[in-house]
Amino acid sequence: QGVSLGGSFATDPAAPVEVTADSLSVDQATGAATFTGDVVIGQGGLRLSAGTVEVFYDAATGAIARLLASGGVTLATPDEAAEAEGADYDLTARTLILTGDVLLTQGQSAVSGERLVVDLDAGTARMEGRVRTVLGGPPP
Amino acid sequence: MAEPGFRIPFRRRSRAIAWAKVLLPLAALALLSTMFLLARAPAGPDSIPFARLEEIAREPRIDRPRLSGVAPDGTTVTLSADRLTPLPGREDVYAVAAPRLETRTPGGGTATLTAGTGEVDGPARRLRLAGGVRVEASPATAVETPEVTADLSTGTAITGPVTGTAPFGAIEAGWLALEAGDGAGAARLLFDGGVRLLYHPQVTAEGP
Repeated sequence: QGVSLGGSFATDPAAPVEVTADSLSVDQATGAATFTGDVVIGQGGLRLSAGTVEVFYDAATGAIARLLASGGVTLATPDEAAEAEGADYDLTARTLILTGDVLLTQGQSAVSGERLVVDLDAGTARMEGRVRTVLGGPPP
Repeated sequence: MAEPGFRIPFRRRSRAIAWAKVLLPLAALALLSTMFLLARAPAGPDSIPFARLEEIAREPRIDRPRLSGVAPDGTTVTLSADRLTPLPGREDVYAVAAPRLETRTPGGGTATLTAGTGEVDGPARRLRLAGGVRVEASPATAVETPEVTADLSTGTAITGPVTGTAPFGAIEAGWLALEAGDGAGAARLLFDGGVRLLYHPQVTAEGP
């Protein structure tokens, strides 16, 4: 079962994506690219920071299809914040899925669960898996 | 007396031969003379560039050198340039004009570094490129940097601050290390010292 939540997750699909990190390693044989060290992905009002981010891109056109974040992830939007173990930002499907002990705080309420699926077009989110809602602020 | 019909052709043929005996040698003489009279005068001594010869002799250098070798892990390393000139007073160190370093790893990774000037340290097998270096490497990476230090025996190189394009966007970084494969790992480009990448999504027309 899941809980749908409103929110201001919407991002402009054409907004440039900025990634900053300590380093980026590109494997010359396979083309695999991985950002490591304080990685921050920014697009519009959305900020996703993580320890490591792997880039899945189309070698021919250079278009990024997916950003796979791991090593502890925090998501920040103008009025929400979320924490999880990992995140999968699919730029083509326009979805952002946080997984692993997800805790989402919105104003005074906090929701925790196993998976948070964010629809970046509609700007809505859906928490799934052992969902617990805490009103009146995050659990003490 | 023989009929005149028979004699006329005979007299005409002997006259033709008589003319031939005169005209043919003359034609031969004319042909032969063209070989000597019309031939170009041999170039005088002033067309040999003595000045340049002295300059070339005095200043030891190699024009358009090309050195290549294979690193332990199979990476081929090729250094070519416009000119290689020994630096006075520094043993086995050469100034390189318009150096071009190309490396190709067994895995197919390629890199080409071109610069304005360079310096090759023979014993240390180290090449320093300066004067604005352009690094083009697979996959789809092209960056500019002020200078690069490359190890000619392994084909690895470390650049200064870089800006340019990475396979998926515009990139700036503290430096770029072109690392050869260490047997297990394939060759890789390591942007380090703080990286900033800007990616512009190509939104297809029928987006939401």
